[in-house]
Amino acid sequence: MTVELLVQQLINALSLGSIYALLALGLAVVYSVLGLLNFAYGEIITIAGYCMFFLVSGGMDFWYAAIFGVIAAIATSLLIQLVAFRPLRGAPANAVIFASFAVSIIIKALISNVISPRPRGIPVPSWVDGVIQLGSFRLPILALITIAIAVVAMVALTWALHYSTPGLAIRAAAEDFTVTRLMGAPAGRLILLAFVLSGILAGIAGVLWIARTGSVSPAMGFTPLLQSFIAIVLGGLGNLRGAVIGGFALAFIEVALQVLLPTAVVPFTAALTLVAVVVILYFRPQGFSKLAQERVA
Amino acid sequence: MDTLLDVRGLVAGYGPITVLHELSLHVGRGEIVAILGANGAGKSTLLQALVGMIRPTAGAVAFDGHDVNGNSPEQIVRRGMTLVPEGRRIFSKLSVMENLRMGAYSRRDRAVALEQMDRYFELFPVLADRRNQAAGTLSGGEQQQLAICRALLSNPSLLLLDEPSLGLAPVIVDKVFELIATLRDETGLTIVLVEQSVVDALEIADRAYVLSNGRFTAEGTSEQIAELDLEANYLGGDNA
Amino acid sequence: MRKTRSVAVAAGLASLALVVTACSSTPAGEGEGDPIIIGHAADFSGDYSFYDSPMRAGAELAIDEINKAGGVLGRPLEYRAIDGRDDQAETLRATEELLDAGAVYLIGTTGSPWAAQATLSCEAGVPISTGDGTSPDLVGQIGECAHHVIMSDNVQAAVAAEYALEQGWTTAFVMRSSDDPYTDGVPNYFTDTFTQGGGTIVGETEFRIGAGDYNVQATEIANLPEQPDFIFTPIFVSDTQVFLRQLRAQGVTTQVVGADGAVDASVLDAGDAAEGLIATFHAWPNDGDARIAKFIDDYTAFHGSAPESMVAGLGYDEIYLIAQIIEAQGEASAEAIIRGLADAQFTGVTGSLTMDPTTRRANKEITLVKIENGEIVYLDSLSPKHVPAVPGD
Repeated sequence: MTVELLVQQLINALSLGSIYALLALGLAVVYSVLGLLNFAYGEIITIAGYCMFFLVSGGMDFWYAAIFGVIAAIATSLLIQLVAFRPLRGAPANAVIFASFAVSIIIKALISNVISPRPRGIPVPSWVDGVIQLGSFRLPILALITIAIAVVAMVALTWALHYSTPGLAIRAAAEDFTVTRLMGAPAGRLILLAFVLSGILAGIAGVLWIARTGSVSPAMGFTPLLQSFIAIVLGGLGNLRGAVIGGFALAFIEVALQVLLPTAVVPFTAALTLVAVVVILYFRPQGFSKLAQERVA
Repeated sequence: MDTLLDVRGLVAGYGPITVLHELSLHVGRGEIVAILGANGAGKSTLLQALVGMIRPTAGAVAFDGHDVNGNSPEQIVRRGMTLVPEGRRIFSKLSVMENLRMGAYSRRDRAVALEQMDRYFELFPVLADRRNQAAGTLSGGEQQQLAICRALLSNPSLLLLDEPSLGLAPVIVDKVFELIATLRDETGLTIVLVEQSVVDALEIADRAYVLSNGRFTAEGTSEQIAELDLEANYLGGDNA
Repeated sequence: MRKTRSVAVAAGLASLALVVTACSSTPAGEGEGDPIIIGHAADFSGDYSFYDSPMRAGAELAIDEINKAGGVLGRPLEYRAIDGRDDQAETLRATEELLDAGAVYLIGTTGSPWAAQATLSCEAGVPISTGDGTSPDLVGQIGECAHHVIMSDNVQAAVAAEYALEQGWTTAFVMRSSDDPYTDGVPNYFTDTFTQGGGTIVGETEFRIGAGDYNVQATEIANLPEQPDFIFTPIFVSDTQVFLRQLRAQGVTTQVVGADGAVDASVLDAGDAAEGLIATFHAWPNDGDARIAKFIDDYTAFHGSAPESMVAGLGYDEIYLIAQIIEAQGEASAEAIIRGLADAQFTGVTGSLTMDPTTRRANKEITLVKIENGEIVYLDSLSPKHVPAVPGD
């Protein structure tokens, strides 16, 4: 493999990993506070996507529409908490999980019946598909944008989680929700904040995902949900830094398998990726959470 | 004496199971009151009911002249009653400093809290040395100090301590109890101390209640309680 | 378009379902003036509604026209469509319901429940089609009643290969996915005809359906030591758009040739990246064809909007094909339709077909389309000289 090819595949993995990391963070932030997985998480991205679709079809610029997409994501995240999580506080975890499943199915069915089961295209500005030639290296503009936005978002989130009081409370709640309440942090507001953060992260990741697929469909939330779920298991459930590491690890495994394996084996990439994840979890049952913890210290 | 906490006929439990049966107790301002009892006697349940983690099914809780029965934990901590939970429960991934910032969460006057922090660092010098270290790396005794200091930063008028001696070496236990006594003497803080370690608790407490199967079976000054030979008469059976 | 299958499991399940329903099924009466029931148990809400829903919309128009013109053999046609949601159990239940109601013909689903559904239909002796399923090995596995009345993948892939050779394109890079018999079969048939005709496959790579990211493949193609004359891939929408954009973003300008899965209005969402794409398809309106233009007008008047997909024409044609067969046989029974289908010849809006009695598949001319100036336009129509053999024929 030439150096150029290696660098380009590295960029591919990095930009895919950026999206996975944001996605995983958004799922993990709710899990860390509530100890529950939000199975309607993918639909946050779906709604953000359809919001963008309508705005862009109405003539709005893609990136302006993206801002509204993120706002729609936050609203959807809050709506999910209101409909599926809040009424069931204190109920068995199964009930909440099924409720979030139900919300997911309802949103999908609504979009499918009211709008269309068919994917809808969102034209992405053509300069996004450009490429910067740097010597013998080709750097796709969208990959660079993706990495840049994800890095900015993650740095901002890290800053907020460390230096703002509500952010600190989220990290504290991730570790011990009860004691965080004993310190005077209101449970309801913490949960709300977790869902807002989850919405922002899913929204940003969703915009970047849509910039690359250029279309929205009722079932588009499934892949992001699945990938972020694998990433947070890999990173150690409920561990925020672990979620980021898990997201990048998953992308690197996926890309590496596709690049390195002989063509005949590539169809099994998805399965092999899961095998790799299982192997990692066998040797590190806590995923990368231990690693993530050591880095904090 | 001015009564800070007045509990009457408190009934509480988990779901259909009643753990506490019509408990009444009072704590005067500046007192150290010990609540003694065996494992499972209902000591932790009592503290959880006081701080609002579980909702009492009957009874009245008056704190600092306000009826706080049924208030949420966040409301109660703002009124000035703070719990140091059993097993310390410090945020191990957060730094020592961040743990203390969480302690001051409920306060509007965070600037004052920061000044107080310097004062507490004199009381807990080891925390000052390790302020940027992850709290999980502290030793057990240091973690207990952190848990107490964290609770103090909410500026409580009543500090509830749940088994502060649990899991600590005897030498360290002595130091922790010494610290609790110092706190009361220097700041006039009121303290409710829940303990299995009877001798240590009675050494610093002014008064004590004995809790057995969800009921108070004895109460009196520390001297009176010390004469009861608790280990044999009250706690022994439950411990088996 | 595509179709997955797991015949053994499906057959087992179907037989089980049959046992359950055997007692309750009662054939409908053959009375004068009673409606002739044509059923359509397919996916109208899941992934395959992409194909099954336009099939339904086209069928509805045909039924309406035929009934307005007096029906078939003096009897009205009754079209019943039930949503199987791409779910095996749901589709089987819907199929049973239609068989119980006395349907004499079924349009099958394009999705994977087809094999089970077709097994059930065959046990009842009722003919069933593959819907928009183009894999040529489908009907052979099921039995006498299963029919493939649209174009087949071996033929469309052969047309793509021969068209390329005609243009003087002799080197191809192939992109396939073993995820699905369609994305795996089409490249095999293509390779067969292309190499037979003197072309060379310079390389091959795998992709994953629905991966949402094809940068790895695009990067691989961009870094080939020498660009091939064209890239052949059965990648289908919405993956097509993603792949084309990522390929062009890597600076690759090489011609891309695809199959029917890429031919959908949504492919235009890729914007400039889709320009120049050539693909094989069932049929496409061109200047000389008034029939398709009239179909689109009638469809628009009937449904209130133009067809979302040209697959609607397939549903429309299938109803007319069955109506023609019933009329010719003079009898509206399942047996008569099977008899008539064996060597049927038919001309509809999507072209002319001749059924092959040995394979029970239609021989049909294939159309090539191209994307030009943001529109899908008619390019050519061909019948291949070398048709690759289908395993199992």
